[in-house]
Amino acid sequence: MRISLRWLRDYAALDAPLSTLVQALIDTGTEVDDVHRDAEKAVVARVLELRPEPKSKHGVRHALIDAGREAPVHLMTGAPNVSVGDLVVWAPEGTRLPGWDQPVGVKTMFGVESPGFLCSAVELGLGDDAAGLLLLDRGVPGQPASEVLDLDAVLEVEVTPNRPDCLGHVGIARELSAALAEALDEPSTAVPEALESVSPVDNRVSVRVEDPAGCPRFMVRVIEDVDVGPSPGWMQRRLRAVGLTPINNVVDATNFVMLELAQPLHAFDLERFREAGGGGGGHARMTVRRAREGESILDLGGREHRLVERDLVVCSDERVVSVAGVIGGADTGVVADTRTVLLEAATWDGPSIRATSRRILAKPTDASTRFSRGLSDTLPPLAVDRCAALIAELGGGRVLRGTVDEHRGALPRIPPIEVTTATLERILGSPVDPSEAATALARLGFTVEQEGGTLRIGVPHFRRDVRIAEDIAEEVGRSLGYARIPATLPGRRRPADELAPHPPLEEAVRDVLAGAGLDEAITYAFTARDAAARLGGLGGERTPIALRNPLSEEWSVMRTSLLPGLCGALATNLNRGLGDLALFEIGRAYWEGERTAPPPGSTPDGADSALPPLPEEPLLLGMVSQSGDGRADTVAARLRHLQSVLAFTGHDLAGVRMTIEPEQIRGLRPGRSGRIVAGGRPVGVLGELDPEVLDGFGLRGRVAVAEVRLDGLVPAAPRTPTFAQPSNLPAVQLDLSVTVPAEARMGTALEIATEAGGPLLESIEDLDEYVGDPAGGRKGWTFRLTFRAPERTLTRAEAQTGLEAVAAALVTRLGAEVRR
Amino acid sequence: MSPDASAAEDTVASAGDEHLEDLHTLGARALDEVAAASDPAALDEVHNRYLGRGDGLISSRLRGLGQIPDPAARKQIAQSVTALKERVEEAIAERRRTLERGAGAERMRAEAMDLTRPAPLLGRGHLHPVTRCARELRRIFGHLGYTAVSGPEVEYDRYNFELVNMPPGHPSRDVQETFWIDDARLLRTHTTPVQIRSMIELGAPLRIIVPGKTFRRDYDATHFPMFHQVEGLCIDEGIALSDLKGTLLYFARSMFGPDRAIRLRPNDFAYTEPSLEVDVSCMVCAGRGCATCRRSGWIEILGSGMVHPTVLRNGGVDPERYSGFAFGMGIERIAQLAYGIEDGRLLFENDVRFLRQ
Repeated sequence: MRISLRWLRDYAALDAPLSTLVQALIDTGTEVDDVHRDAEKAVVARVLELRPEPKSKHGVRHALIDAGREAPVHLMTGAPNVSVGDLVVWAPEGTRLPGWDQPVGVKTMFGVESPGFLCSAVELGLGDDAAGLLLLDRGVPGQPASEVLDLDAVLEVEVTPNRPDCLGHVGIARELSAALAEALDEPSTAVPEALESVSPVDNRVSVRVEDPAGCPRFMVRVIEDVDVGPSPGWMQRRLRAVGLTPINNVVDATNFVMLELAQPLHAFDLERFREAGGGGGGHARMTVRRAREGESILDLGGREHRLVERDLVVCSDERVVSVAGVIGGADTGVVADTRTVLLEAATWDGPSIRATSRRILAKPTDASTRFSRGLSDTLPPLAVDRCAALIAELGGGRVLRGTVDEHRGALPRIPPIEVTTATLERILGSPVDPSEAATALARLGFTVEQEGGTLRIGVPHFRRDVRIAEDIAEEVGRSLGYARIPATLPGRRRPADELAPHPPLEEAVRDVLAGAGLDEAITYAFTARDAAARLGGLGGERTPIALRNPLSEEWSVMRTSLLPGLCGALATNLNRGLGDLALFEIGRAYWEGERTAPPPGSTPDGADSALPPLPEEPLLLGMVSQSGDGRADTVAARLRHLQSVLAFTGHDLAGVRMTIEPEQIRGLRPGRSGRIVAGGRPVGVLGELDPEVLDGFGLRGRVAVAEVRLDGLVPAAPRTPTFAQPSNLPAVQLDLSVTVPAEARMGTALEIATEAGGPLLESIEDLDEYVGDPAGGRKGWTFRLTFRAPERTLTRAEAQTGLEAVAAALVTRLGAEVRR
Repeated sequence: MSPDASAAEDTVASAGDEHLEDLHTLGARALDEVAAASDPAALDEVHNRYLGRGDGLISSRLRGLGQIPDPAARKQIAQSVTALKERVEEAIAERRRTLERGAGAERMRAEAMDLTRPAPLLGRGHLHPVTRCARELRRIFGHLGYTAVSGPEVEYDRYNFELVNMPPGHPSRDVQETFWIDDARLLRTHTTPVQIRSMIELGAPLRIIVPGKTFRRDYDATHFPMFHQVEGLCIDEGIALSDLKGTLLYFARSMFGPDRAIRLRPNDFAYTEPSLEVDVSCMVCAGRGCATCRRSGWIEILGSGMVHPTVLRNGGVDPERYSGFAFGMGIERIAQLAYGIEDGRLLFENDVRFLRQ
């Protein structure tokens, strides 16, 4: 919201430097995003020379001015009131003037480049006199104009949701006057008797509120014999200063009062309002209710909006003419020949306005923003009187006697709050002086009765956010300044029944992966709808959870696997000329319908059981490893590398051995994919990307991938290793070479060998694989077998017997032939 | 020449002259040849020639001794020959060491390395800045006794909003644009729901931090639909706002340097009362004012406050007995400030040139 400094000064002196005011707002909780001083670049200049431009028919003159620069500045001016020697204000190129969208530029007139211009009072936002230049009675050339003129400044402030009262200048002035200990002079809101007519308002309008919860208060006044016309200069300046375009004296008055008191108002043309409802007899019948199915309204731009049953509407008799706080109807507004103004000020249910405005409006309006936050029902009487008086004053009309006030939904009054300074001290952790606290609260509009350390606090009508002792602590804390509160670390003696927490195991996994040369990626948890169908990863055939309001098709569903996201990250790198790299990610996927128990910390009332269950969120580890040369063996080496990483992770962190069961997995290359099994349970997939999938993700080269479920693999508490003493007894190592059918699997061979080797076979190591002529249908393996007896020296003959047993088992069970 | 050797020489001189003269020359010749040997092979030759078992020029002298009649002279000559043998052996060993040293030096010269040549990079991968920053946060708060916990990322509206004092229609919901799955379920917009879940699960007293993913329907140069937060919650008897201030000062200094100051500004969050925005003095200009802090000297880093009594109650914690503070910060933002990452978009591109730093 924009706040004009000069406007604020209508209500409090506030003559401290601008920076002090800004700091005071920031310190008390109103964020100031930006400060623009009007005409900041404008300077004082002395007119040195004036010469008429012969081609000008309107008396444009060449002026040479001394603006404190090295050389005089040459520019053009059409002002008649200036003479040589006068002190004037020059707005050079780039000066921002109040109410101007663009900074001042350089204009070419009569073939002369005229940099900026000399200003009138209107251009500086200082008055109504546009006829001639503003002549100064003091100042030296080059001096900033702001030092000799009372130029306005505009603050861009951000008001927190709990403070709708600060969405008006009076509210901000109150904050500042409290912070700076100055008096606040609130505007009078009574309608002066001179402006009031004897004729009662009831003659012209009646109001029926059908939904008092949606509309706690609805107030109306009527102003007759209004001459619609432009607002006076002072009001136009106020509105322009905060970025509003003046329209006419009636509309401007409603905007002015909204920007002053934070209460939006709406002005109807009473005759047009009445006609819209088809009514006669000079009497307007206003009905406030929820919209009905099928109703719609045309906005001022002529666009039709369909209404839903939640929308609050104002009707002329039965016909909807405006949507509360959101749209004023096209055919009932104030126009040039309006004579009778029907002025509405209401309190609406915030959530209803919020829902309607979010559905209908592209962006919130000044009124919808204020109503959405839930304004106090004490504001309409102030605003409607203030505005009616202004309209009558500016438009020469008279306010009908009395107000229609439908207030059946009156909001509960906020009861007084009683707090002790002990309570405030307990919350703030700092000593609180009761009189100081009482003074601070009083400046903010609270009434305070102090009795020793007890404060009995009456909450002002506009502060519906203050309800409990903690709210008072905030008011006191921010008034006294949080800088005064000491910085302490909490601690107290507690029973020692806790255990030291373990660092999460996923962090150890991250270290393993980074140590193994993979870089960590973090990709979005949403993917394209078809990503899972192309590359299911560990998510397999699961249907992803769709977002109801996604940002784009690319991010429309929750991922069931990390692999599509990682392939996307890989593609980004490849497109930037990088390659031969490996990425990993650890994060959750989302599997609908698979959560077996509600998450920890569910409310004991069982309220969740009526809701659709939350999805399972497995913690996955995904890896992708790309080689650019397109060769089968280099990508095979990368796939083997991923296997090594997984084996290490499984062994060292989880104490489990992972095995691979070859299987055709969607998106992965036939013959190069499999399922990872640990402890008899499938925990992951790995393989090489299918060429088609590769294309689909915009990848080049060849890519090895793997994905495992970490929370299915790694225990909650880390594995505690046990360390055994290495044997000092000698081992016997023997090599065994066999040929086997080409389709034989080494995993099977190792299982057979381990079983056949007996207890003396300590380990079996794969030394070599030889794939000779594929047409021959066989391949060769060489193993190194290590035999060792636990408590004695093993003889070579015993080891040889073990080797023979292994060989025999491989021959009979795998069709191996031993090569001697 | 060793003192022992010269003593032997004197003894030899006083015995039979001819014999001794001969042995003397032989010894001198042997030692000359040892000194002249230029490589280990030549030295081996010298060794064989003089000391070779049986037929070496020196060692063979011991063989004809039996013909010398005088036992005293015999003994003396035997001693002289043995002494000479030892002397030559020693000289050979010494020469061999010298030669080896020389050869070693040569080899060292030949095998010298240019250590200024850049070493090949360690084939290590790198952790994402968000991970590194989260670890840093875990370390800092771990020292204060906070345990890291987690909660669901797909949450119920109840936990994300209602139970933390943001009922439907609450104006604060506007600043947290939400991704919805259905009427009841959403992607959590903050890690705050884990406050409620932890209070219910673990009870008071409680000190937790919650690092995790959060989602808001917002996407531009500085807002991302997914980001990471760390929530902190401390509940105990007698927790005051001063404790919040002290804890966050400890955090700010540990994270951004010992000279940092913090500033608390009033704000409004539904789940805390009082609510505070926390600024840290600018780490770029040390508070003097620069582009990073938009000339203010302060940088906003997190939101915090004293846990609202209603939120405590919703978590099953008695607000009459316990009080607490909570805070929440964006890990990306902290990482950007701590690591000087000006453009936050880099954090989601996964460009390895960025990651490998």
